[in-house]
Amino acid sequence: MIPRKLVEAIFRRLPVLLLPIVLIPALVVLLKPQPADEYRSVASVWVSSPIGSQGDPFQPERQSFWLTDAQVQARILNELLRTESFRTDVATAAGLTDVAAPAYQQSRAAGEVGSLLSVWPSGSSLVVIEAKASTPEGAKKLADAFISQYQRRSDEETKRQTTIAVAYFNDQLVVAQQELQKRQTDVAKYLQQYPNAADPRSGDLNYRSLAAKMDAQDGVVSGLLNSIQQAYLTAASSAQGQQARFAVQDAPVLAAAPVGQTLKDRLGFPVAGLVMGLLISAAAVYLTFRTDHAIRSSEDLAGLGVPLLGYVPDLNASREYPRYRRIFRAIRRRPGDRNFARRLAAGIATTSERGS
Amino acid sequence: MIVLTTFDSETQTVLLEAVREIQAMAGLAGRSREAYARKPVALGITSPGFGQGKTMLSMALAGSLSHDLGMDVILVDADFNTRSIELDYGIVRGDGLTEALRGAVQIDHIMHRLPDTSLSVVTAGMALGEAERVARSEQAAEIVRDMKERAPCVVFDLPATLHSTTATVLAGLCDGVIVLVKAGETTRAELDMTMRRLKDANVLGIVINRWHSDVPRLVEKSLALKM
Repeated sequence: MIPRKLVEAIFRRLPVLLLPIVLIPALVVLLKPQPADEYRSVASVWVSSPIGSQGDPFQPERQSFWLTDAQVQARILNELLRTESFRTDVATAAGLTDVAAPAYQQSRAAGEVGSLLSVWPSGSSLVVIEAKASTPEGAKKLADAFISQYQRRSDEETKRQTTIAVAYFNDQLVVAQQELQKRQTDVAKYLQQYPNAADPRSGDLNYRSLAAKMDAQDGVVSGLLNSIQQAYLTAASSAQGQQARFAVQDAPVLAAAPVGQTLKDRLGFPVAGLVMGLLISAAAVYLTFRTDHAIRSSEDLAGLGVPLLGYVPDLNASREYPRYRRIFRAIRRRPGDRNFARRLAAGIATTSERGS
Repeated sequence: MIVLTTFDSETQTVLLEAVREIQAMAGLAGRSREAYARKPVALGITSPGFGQGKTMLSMALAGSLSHDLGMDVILVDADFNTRSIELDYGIVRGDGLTEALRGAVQIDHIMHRLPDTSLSVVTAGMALGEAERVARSEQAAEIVRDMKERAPCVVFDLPATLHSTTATVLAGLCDGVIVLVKAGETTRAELDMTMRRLKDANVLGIVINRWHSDVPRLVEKSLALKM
C-alpha cells in the first residue's frame, strides 16, 4: 500500500520536482560540446593459408578447427593492437608521433591508435580494418600504417625465425660433421690393420659396425644440410607467402563525407541528464516524505485510539478556480481572506434551507 | 446586532455537508429532539494550537445543529484569549462568560439570541489574564449545568489545548470533546501531546480542517489511496 503522504508529497511539489527532470537534460543539450567531424577509412583483407606455404609466424598452429581463417587473423591483429610497441609503430607510421618525440607523447599517440582502429572478421576469409580520424587523410594514413606495420612485423618475424633456425642447424652441422670425420677416421684405421675387412666375404663384424655408424652419421649431416637449405628457402619465399596469406583486396580510401553520429552519441548525454534529474527529484520526494510530520489524512492518526470524525475542506482553496488552484497556492502561501470560512460558519445558523 | 449573511452559497453547502458528516460521526445527528431534551449535551471544540479553525467549527457545528434540528443551541466562546466570536456575529462587546463565572451577572444576561434562529451566543467577556482562575472555579460546572438546562445542546469554543490549561479544565466539564487539527500544519507530536492533556475528557474524535489534496482523482483511484 502506497502511503497517501508520499503521493501527496509528489503532487504537492510537482512543478518543483519536474524542474530538474526538464532542466538538467536541457542544460546538458545546450552545454554539450558539439562533436568534431569524424572520417572513416575501411580496408578489406583476404586471409587464407595457400597450399605449400608456411603458416603465419604469429600463429604456429590453429587454435581451433571451428575458427575460420578470418577469425584467427582478426584475433591476431586485435592482440597485436593491444601491445604498446605495435601501436607506437603504427602511430609513428601514421604521422601521429615520431620516434624523436618524448615517451609520454608516444604513449598518448599509441593510446589514440588503440581507440581509432577496429578489426573484425567478415565471413570466413575476409577481415575488415576500420580506421577513424578527424580528417579523411588521417583515417586513410592510419589504415595504411596499420596494414604496412603488420606486414613488416610479419616479415621480420619470419626472417627472425629463419635466422634462428639456420644458426641452430649450423651449430648442429658442425658437431655432426666432426663426428662423421671421427667415424671415417676409425674406419680408415681399421682397414689399415685389416685390409681384407672391407671384403664382404671376410664377414668382419667389427668393420660392419664401424661402417654402419659412419653411414648413419653421414645421414644426419645430410639431413641438417637439407634443413638449412629449407630454412633459406622459407626466408626467400616469405614475402611471396605473406602476400598470398594476407592480400589487401580493398585498400583504404579517402572518405568522401564524415560519419554521422550514432543514436548513442546523440542521446547518451541527454539520457544521462534525465536520469540525474530523476534521481534528484526522487531524493527530494524522499526527503519531503520523511521530514513531513504533519497530519494530512487518516493514515497519520493511526494508533491514536480515537476515530476520525471527518474533514473540513479548504474553503479558501475551493473558492479559487480549481484549474489554477495549485498556482494560487504556489504564489500565495497564505490565503488573503482568512476570515472567509468563519463568515461562512457564522452564516449557517441564519441560512434558510440552503444546503439542507 | 448584525449577522453577516453575505457568502458563497456553494462553498457554504460544502462546509455544511462536512459539518453534518462530523455530527453523524460524533453521534449528534442521530438523536431526536426529545433525546436532546432528556439529556442535554455540552460539546467542546479544541485544537492543539491557535488558528487551526476551532472557532469556525464551533460556529458551524452550533449553527448546523440549530438549523437542522430546530432546537435551542448555545454557542459559548470559552476562548478567553481571542474573544473572537462576538466579532464574527457582530455582537457589541459586553459582559460574557467571564463575568458569569465571577458571579457578576446571570446567564440570561449574557446570552445573545440571533434573530430568526434558535442559536444563542455567549461571548467570552473580559477575563484579563485570569481565565485559568475563573475556569477552575466551582461556578464553572454550575454554569455549564445551567446552560444545559436552557438549551439541549451547548457548544463550547475552547482555547488551544497546548497554549492554555483552561482548555483541559473546561474540556473535563463537557460531555464530549472534538479535537480539530489543521491539515499539513498540526504535527502528530502536537496531537499526541494534546491527547495526553485531554486524558480526563471524553474525546469523541478528530476533525481534520482545511483538508485538500493535490493528487488527481484518477491517481487516487488507481492507487486506492486512503482519505
